[in-house]
Amino acid sequence: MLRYANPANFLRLAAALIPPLAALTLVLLAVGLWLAFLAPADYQQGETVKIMYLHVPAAWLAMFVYSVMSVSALGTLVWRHPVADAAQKAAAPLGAGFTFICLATGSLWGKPMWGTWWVWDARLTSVLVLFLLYLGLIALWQTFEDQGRAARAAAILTLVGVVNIPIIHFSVEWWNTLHQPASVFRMGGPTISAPLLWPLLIMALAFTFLFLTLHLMAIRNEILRRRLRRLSILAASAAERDEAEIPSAATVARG
Amino acid sequence: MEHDPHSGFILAAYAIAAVVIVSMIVAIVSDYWSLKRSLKRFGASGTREADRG
Repeated sequence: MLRYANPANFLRLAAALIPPLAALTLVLLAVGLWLAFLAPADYQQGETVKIMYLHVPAAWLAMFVYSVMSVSALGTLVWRHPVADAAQKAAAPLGAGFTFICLATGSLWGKPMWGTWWVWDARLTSVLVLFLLYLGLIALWQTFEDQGRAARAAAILTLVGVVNIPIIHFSVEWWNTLHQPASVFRMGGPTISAPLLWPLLIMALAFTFLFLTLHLMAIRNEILRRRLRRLSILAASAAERDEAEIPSAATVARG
Repeated sequence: MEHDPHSGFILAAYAIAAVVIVSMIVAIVSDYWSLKRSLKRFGASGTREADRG
């Protein structure tokens, strides 16, 4: 495992893993969407239940991506590892994307079912806070010129924000909310019938593989960006050296 | 689904999700190609020199 924490080894691993992961994601998305299209209507919600196949996987991924970022933040703070820095930075925009899908599809599901686009209840507000945390982290990475300092600052903010994840998860149990309680991962098993549950699980798997693929690709980009920065610095210092040598050579020639 | 009174909400949800996912993919892939182009300008020897991270 530690062997792949080396950036050069990681690039070789990413090159080998990205094509099969992308193919698997495509197959899972195609199967999941097809099963979601064929799934029966809910006896209360009718066809509107089809929004669940996007909303629920996006909500799970919003929290999963933050957990991945938190583990990477530990890698940055404890081991000061460059791949952990890259993993943190690469995950934030993806987390923001999945959280935005969760909020937007939730709002589009809420309007016909609850009669409102938005309520300031615990579940919705804590997910909005998660979205703002992602945006804050993306902004923080842009603030620092030194990426090592940016990684440490982002890691601290990520670990402070991790308290929001159990709040999101348990908000429907701790407070009275308009949002329904957990219906898949709960004591006593899922409350969703099998014909509706299977497309949901396959879509969740498809979203997870989509994240893994995009995350690997984005980490690879971050490693290449660092490489490019290093090369630019080397080229700039070589040019400076050459400039300094030309006048001294001219002085020697005159003397 | 075309007879469902809320089909507009369903289509909007799928359209938004598709736009966000495609945007994430395009952003990452175009970033990769632009980085590869920039690295190519420095040549293979420079790339080896920067292999340390």
